[in-house]
Amino acid sequence: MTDIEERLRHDLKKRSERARPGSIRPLRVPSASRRSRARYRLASARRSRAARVLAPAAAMVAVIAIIAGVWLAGQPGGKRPAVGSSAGMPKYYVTLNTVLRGKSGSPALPGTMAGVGPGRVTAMVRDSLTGALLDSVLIAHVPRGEYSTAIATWITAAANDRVFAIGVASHAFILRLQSDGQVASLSPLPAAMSKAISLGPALLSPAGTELAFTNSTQRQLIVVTLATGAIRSWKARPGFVDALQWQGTGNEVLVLSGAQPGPPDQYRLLNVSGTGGHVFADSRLVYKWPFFRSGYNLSNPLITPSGNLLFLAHSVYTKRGGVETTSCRVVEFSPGARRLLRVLYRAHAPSSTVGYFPPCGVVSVGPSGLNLLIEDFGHGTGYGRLDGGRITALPGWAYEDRYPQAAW
Amino acid sequence: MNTSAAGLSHPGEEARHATVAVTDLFREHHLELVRLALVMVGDQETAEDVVQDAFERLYLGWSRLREPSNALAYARSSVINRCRSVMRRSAVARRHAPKLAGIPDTGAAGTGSASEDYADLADALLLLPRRQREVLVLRYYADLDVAEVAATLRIAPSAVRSTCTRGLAALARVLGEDRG
Repeated sequence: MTDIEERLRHDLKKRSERARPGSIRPLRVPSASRRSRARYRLASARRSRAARVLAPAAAMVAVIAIIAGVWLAGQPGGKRPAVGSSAGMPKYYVTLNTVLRGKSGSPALPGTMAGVGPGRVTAMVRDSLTGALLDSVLIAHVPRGEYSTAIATWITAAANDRVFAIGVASHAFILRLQSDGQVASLSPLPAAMSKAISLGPALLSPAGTELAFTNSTQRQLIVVTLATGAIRSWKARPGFVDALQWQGTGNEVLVLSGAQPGPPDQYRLLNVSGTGGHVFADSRLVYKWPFFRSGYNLSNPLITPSGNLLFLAHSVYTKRGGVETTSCRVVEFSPGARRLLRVLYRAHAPSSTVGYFPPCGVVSVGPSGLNLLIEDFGHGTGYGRLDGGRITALPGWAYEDRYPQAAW
Repeated sequence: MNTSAAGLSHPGEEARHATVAVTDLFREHHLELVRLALVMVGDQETAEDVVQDAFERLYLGWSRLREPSNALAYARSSVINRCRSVMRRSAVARRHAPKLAGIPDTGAAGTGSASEDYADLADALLLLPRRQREVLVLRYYADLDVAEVAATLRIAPSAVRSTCTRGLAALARVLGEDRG
């Protein structure tokens, strides 16, 4: 533990001890509590009555919309994104769904709690164009009584849309798909390798042959060759490093790092073709982060394989007329010009429906750089495909998930 | 696992169960939650209000709670959420306060003189962006692990780690120190 961590712990404890049992005033009587409770119950009853009445109608509308969507998708001049924009897009995306039979919190309630086992973690293979479920495979059983907060999961994809690496707790797996999207194999990585990566998330190289991840203190970037188990490492001391994305053919990794003294605020391309070394010595600056202290919720930016565009999402909370709204924008930056090029997508959602989730985030950039897989909680389905600024909702996010995750 | 709520169907019984459960929770964790709110907002009266609101909401929403056994986590999240609203409101109030009234700019106070006084780091924490402040308080005050912080704030564990790193670095910078 560093000095500042110790001091912080100590100072916070001291500060908190200003509140002593004797110094806390007695509870005030809630204003109009009976009335508000009655109003609350009435509202709940209305909601449930409305749900009962409207559910069949909503289901009918949804069915009609799906049929119309499928029909339109089959039409050459339909309203789906132009073929050009989805060319080069990965054919499949895989979602990692943690479904626990012990009840888990609903995202409609801010601050709801973790789910609890028994349950299972399943990988679901879906078609990137239509979202259709192609295959699924059980990754792990969650034991009875195990809290979802104890199960760290991550998933990452190679550029060939056939190889995925998956982590569940301290186990890591390689998932391979056939050309038609069916699961070809799921093989566990050796225990030693899994344990090293267990903190995750790890990043699979474009060829699906290497995994990059940082150690627990984020002072080191480690690259493991899957076939041989050989390890190469790049130290970041006295700075920090966070691996974000492999670049191009797999010789470089986009990392977030920083020079001392100061926070990690630089996006750098680290050359990992060598045998190891130092993050700063072996990398070049791509982008200096301008929003370090903005207070916005910013997603980690992803960069195109060519390195000339950055994508990221940021969200802002606003409150108007007593209603808290979370707004989110997916934007495109030019690292070269260091400026915002355009806003690709905007989403708004009442904070009550998205809870503490930022309503959107960039999950993955397609190899062509034209398509983004995004998380889009304000949209309803959880995932979305962004083709040149046009959003297509994709299924796959289960409400039972603690950490909805996907990759393509 | 606590499954007692699942078997309850009578509304009166359910309300009684909620009363008992929330009372127990209040008795055991009220002080702890007030202290959590205090380090978040820096003012005891506000912290007490925040926690009272959180308990009221918990009581009213008890029947909707899917996992009553984890009510403390819910209460903790609710407190963090309320603190967030309070801080947002006070930021707006500060912004619109008349400059000529001589109201000190708390945003810059304390950054220049880092001393060994214990109050400095807790004060410096209030200068950080909201997310960093929340992560650091949950990590170093509430002693939650990364996964628990992630679950409380509903963000990814990797985001917790990077936010924590950034927060500590920012604190060091505010205090004019090098993390080393």
